[in-house]
Amino acid sequence: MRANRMSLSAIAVLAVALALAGCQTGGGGAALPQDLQGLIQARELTPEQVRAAIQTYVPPGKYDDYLMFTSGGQGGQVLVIGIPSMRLLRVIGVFAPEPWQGYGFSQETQEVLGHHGADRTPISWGDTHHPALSETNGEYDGQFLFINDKGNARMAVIDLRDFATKQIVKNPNAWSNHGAVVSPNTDYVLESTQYAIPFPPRPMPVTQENYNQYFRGLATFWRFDRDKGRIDPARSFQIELPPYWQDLADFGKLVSDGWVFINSFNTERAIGGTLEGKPPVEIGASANDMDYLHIIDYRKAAELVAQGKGTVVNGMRVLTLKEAVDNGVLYFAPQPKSPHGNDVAPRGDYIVVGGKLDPNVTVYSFEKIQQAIRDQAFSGRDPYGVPILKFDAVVAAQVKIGLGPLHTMFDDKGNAYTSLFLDSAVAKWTLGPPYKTGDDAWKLVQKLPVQYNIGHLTAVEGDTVKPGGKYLVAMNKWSVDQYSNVGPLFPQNFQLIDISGDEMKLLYNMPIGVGEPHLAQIIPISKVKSWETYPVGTNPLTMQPDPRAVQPGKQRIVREGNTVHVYMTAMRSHFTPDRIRVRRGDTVVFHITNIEKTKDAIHGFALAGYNINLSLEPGKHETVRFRATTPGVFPFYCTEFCSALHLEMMGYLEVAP
Amino acid sequence: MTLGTRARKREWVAGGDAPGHPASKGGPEAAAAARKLVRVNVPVARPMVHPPVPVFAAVLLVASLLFPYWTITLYAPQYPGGLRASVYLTHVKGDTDEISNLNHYIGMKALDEAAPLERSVAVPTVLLFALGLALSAWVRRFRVLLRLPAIAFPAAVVADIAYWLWRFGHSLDPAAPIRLEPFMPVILGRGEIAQFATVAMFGPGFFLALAAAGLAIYDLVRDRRSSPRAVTAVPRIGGGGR
Repeated sequence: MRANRMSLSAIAVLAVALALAGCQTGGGGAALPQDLQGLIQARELTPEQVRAAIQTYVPPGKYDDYLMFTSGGQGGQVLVIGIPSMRLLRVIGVFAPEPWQGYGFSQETQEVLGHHGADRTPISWGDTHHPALSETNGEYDGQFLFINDKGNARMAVIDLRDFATKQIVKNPNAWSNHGAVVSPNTDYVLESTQYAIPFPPRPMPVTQENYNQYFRGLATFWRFDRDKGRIDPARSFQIELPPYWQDLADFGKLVSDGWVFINSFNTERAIGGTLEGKPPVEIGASANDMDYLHIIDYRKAAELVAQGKGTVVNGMRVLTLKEAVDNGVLYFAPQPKSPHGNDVAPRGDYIVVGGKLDPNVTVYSFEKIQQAIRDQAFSGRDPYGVPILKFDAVVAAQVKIGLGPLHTMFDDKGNAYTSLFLDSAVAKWTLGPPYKTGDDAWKLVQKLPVQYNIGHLTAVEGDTVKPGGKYLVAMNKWSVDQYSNVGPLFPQNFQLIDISGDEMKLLYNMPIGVGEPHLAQIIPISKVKSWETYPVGTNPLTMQPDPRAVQPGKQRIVREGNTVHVYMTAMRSHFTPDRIRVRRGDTVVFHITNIEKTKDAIHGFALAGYNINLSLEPGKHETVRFRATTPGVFPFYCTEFCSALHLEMMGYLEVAP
Repeated sequence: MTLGTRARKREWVAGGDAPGHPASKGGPEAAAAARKLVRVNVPVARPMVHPPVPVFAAVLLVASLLFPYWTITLYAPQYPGGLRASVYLTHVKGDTDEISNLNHYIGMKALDEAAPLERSVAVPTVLLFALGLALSAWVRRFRVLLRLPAIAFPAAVVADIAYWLWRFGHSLDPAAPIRLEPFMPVILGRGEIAQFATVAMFGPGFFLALAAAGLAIYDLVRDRRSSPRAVTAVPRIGGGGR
């Protein structure tokens, strides 16, 4: 009872403060706090909750401070979320057709999305995992976003001028990947193969002998051409690795620039066999006490490749395992069993690895690694001849923070934040010198429970050379009891946490009901300079004026043999032309320019019967091509409510028999 | 017309007032001489302007080409910043595409269909008028005539804008989706069309032209006060002595 009264008076104080802050017009000042008090009491809010509500509230018409780009998991999308409001601002179609954006319907986007599976059918999904914002000198520059598709070993490039996917590359030598990380100046985007397959890929019985001898992992360095805004596969390369399951990676930065660190698991090389009475992979792959942190001198690897070393496999230059070992490109360091998370500290001096099945985070010192390499301080070699650095020679500290440590992010005050999957908590702990010294170093500060089973976490610019602090988002796999039941497929649970003070404070829950996100990245909104409209006639793929863009007054229908080109404009509230007559069997090509210059004057173009659906933002020019195989009269219409006469924005395609 | 402080003008003056004349040396001869009218060069009496006022006015008029004469801002809920059109003598700038696009719903012509002739002759006209203004500083005989076009110009522009507004408001396409009674859009101040509140006002270009006209008039008036009266007044002084 007393506690209750105390918290009520605390609420009253807060409410008065609120009223004073919000209501300077005076007069009825006394009435407002009472209203508020009543509201707070009626909703049974604690002072902390009221504080959190105010902290995350972004009034109508005001903007968030940060943008969070998060993977959309199996949806194959990227979600863009405002922070601190946690409002969903955009969905970006990446690896799957996304009808709202007409993504995967226009010729331009079909070109981006045009990968096929092994069975030659178009791939219509993706498992987006790790978004990576482009960086300049180790800081986010707000220009591009990369994201991997674990399910099909693909990597996508998103242009942040229009928040649209511009390119997807398929790893020719893998069927799965993990991680997308960029080098400090975005020269390379790295993906590691998660699950090893025969290298080069080919059919073979999955036996232990074959696995050991022919299966390989790969570190794929996609070369990014910033001027073109595209990955250049011809200048990309791979490094052949033993068939351990290379997992999360991070580029070195500042002192460790030029190096890459990848953790791995299943150094046991387990392949399962549950039906034959053998242990499943989860058991087989967890037998060893230590797996290997891969330490790669990728600059040297790039030089060797430039010198013509390596072989070309399926069009990709691959530095062989032997070449990598012989030239001092690849080293291993033991890491506690089945690790997860592999994150380089802001100054590039430490590499933090989550223990997953070990209650410690193991922190490797880059300086010590370099010294150990110089000293040849090896504890041995793995079966493929890779030198293994002595554990004690390279480890700076092990910090016991709790059960199931996975991913780590950093703030601007020398603290690290690690997700604890098993504990369902975020651990805040301190880095060692030069971040924190003496008794303050390598110390667990606080554990904040989260709901539940946290996977990744992300902090404002938390993996850059200049972390922003302020906010952290816990990305929880299970929501269990956090939301109203909406059926057995439970939403994921994002939780916004305030990390600006000494203690972490939980602010807000956001359900994600479109897929299971993995990593996210948070960038100050001021760093993203996106377009409000396209310059009229812009091809969204090239971001240049399209030579076929249609000018007002130049709309026309041109027949070239059996191909009918329709040069069309969209403008409130009509398509020109709006009646089109073709013959059965003709190939019909619509070239449509939205000639609007007004922001948000978006039109859609949907044609019944032929699975055609475009989104035409102001200024955008897109093309759609199909064969008019079926005679009939097919209405087309604008799908995006554009004006009072939007319903009238339509036309007819007549396919004559 | 003269330039600078050393400028002089031939005028009739009483002999005693003429510098260097025997009358100024005193004595009885002098007194007689002083009553005699002589024609001498005297410094120009009125203060000089750099450059002369009409030239300055001409510059203002030419400069007005660079600024809008009339602006209209349309406010509606879905256009938080408003939509603006700035009407220059030669073109229309601002959110003209959007305004024209909206106009088509009420069957109003596109903004760039207004005043084609006026816009095409605007530059030579203004230059010509400005030239007249400038010339009037030297060519005294026709100076009123030379200045008249520039003086009348702002009013003419307003009349033309009013005409086109009237014409736009009275030639609405009867087939337009939204049918309005013919109307006269507001030329100055607040108005209302459908969900739009409009605010119309004259722009810097108009005020420059107005200033040019004002200066031309002012200069004319002042000119009439100083030089022409001096010519008639002097003989009266002399005559009074007789």
